[in-house]
This record gives sequence, C-alpha cells and structure tokens, in this order.
Amino acid sequence: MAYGCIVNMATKNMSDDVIQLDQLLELDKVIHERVRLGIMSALSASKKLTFNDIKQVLKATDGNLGMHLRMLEKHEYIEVEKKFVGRKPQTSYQISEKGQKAFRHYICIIEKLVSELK
Amino acid sequence: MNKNEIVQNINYIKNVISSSTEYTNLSGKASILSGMVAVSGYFATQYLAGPNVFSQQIDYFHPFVVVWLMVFLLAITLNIIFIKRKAKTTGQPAWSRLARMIFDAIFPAIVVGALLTLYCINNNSPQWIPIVWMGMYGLGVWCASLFSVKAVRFLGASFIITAMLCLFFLQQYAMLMLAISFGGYHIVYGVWLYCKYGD
Repeated sequence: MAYGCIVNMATKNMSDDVIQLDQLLELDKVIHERVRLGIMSALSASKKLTFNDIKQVLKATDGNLGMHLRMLEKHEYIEVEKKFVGRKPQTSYQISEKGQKAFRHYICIIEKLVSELK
Repeated sequence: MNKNEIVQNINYIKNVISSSTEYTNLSGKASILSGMVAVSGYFATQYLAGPNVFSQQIDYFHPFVVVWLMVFLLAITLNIIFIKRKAKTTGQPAWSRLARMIFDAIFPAIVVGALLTLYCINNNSPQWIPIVWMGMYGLGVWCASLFSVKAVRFLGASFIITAMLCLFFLQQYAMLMLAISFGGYHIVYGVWLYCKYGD
C-alpha cells in the first residue's frame, strides 16, 4: 500500500474515464501482459506448479507460454526447477521473492486505479 | 489504461486464481444419481436382509455387504463418467493437478474406512459399519473440499455430524441414517450444485 500515494497524486487531475498512467507510474511491463499476468496470478495462489499445470489453467500453447515464462525467469520473478520424473523431464515454477513484491505492487496499483474510478 | 481494461484485468486475475485453486468439474447430476443409488441400496438391503440387519451374523457375502459394495462402485463409476463429460464442456482436464490433490485428500479416509469395515465384519460388530462409513467419508470429503468449492465442505461436515449423532444418540437408526446421509445429502447437494453451476 506504500505506493498508494503515488497513484493518488498521479490520478488526481485526470479525466474520469481514461487515465494515462503508464508513463507516470510504470505499471510493471514485465507483469502487464495477459499471459504473464496469468502466470503470476496462478503462481501466487499455489506454491509450485509444473509447466503443464500452468498450461492447463491458462489454456496457452507451449511456445507462447514458454516464451513468457522465460521472460519472467530472466527478470528473476520466478524460480525454475528442472528434474526428471521417470524418463520425462519436468519443469516446475515458483514465484520468487522479487516476483512476489512486483506482483503485490502491480495489484496495489490496479486496486488504487479501481478506487479512483468509482 | 481505461476502466474496462482494469476491470477485465481484475476479473482475469480472479479467474486464474480460482481455477488454479478450486476444482470445478464436480457434477451435480452424478451426485443426484449416486444419492438415488444409495437410497435403492437401502431398500435392497431391507428387502434382502430384513429390517434388523445388524442383529444377524454378517460375513463378506451377506446381502448388506454385497449391496453396498455395489452402491459404492456404481457411485464412483457414475461420478467418473459425469466428471469426464463435464471436463469436456469446461475445457478443463478431468485429471488435473487439483484432481490429484482431491484424490490424495480423500484416499486415506476411504482406506481406513474400508479396513475398519473389515474389522467390524470379522469381529461380529456390524452395527458400527454405517457410523464408520459416514464418519470416514465425511472426513475425506471435508479434506477434499480444500481444493474445491465451499459446498463440498458443507457436505463433509453434514456427514461427520450425522455420524456422531448416530454414534451417541441414534445407534438403532444407523441403517436409516445411512440412507438419509448417502442418499438424501447427496441428492440435496447435487441439486444445489446443479442449480448453481449447471450439469
């Protein structure tokens, strides 16, 4: 909630319907994309998910999902664990501390935006 | 970002979180049918073994055991069929991570229930069997509810409470309570599920 005041300042003199906040208030670009937002939401609700678990929840394709997961990994928002289950490789993902903070920040801003719009 | 986009984002987050923490392929119809099977099981037992089932010596081939084993298997089969069917319409796989968790949650209670049943039969104390079934099933369902919608927890709690009432106050009505719980509760729960979520 520490970010609330920034949002407050930013939204005060804007029109009711449309807010050009993006420049003022970096809505985290890493999270602000549909698939990546989905990944972060799913991982924030469960401790650890495999690639297939995430795929099932988000109904995304392998390539697309892989790309977004790599991006989140690059920014250290998620931690990756690779192991073998029998002969099959299995990759599972977990939200990192940095990712958790970023996600909370993102939600915080969204929350604020909603309350400003009401 | 405009209003619509924000609201959409929030709904999306909500949906993703609930679909990764709640199993929703449960079928109301299957529950109603299973309830009916249980009620038929009750009448079949009454017809085949008379009203005082538990005053008799019971072995593995006694009508009570055979009928209720069939009820159990039939109810499981019905649920698998309907869950698979529903999974097709919701686009969520029937055997997902949440389904595995539900299975893990309910499995120990069912195994212990089965072993206690064997013990009761072998030690000639069949009057405890309905209480064991209701209690163990209730515990299993309660645990499973951690990975599904709230209504499942009510079902689990109802079974546990009924088992305890039966144990302390209504032992002579154990057989009837079996029909009311496995039959009645499942039908009520199934109707509720059907009205709320459809199918």
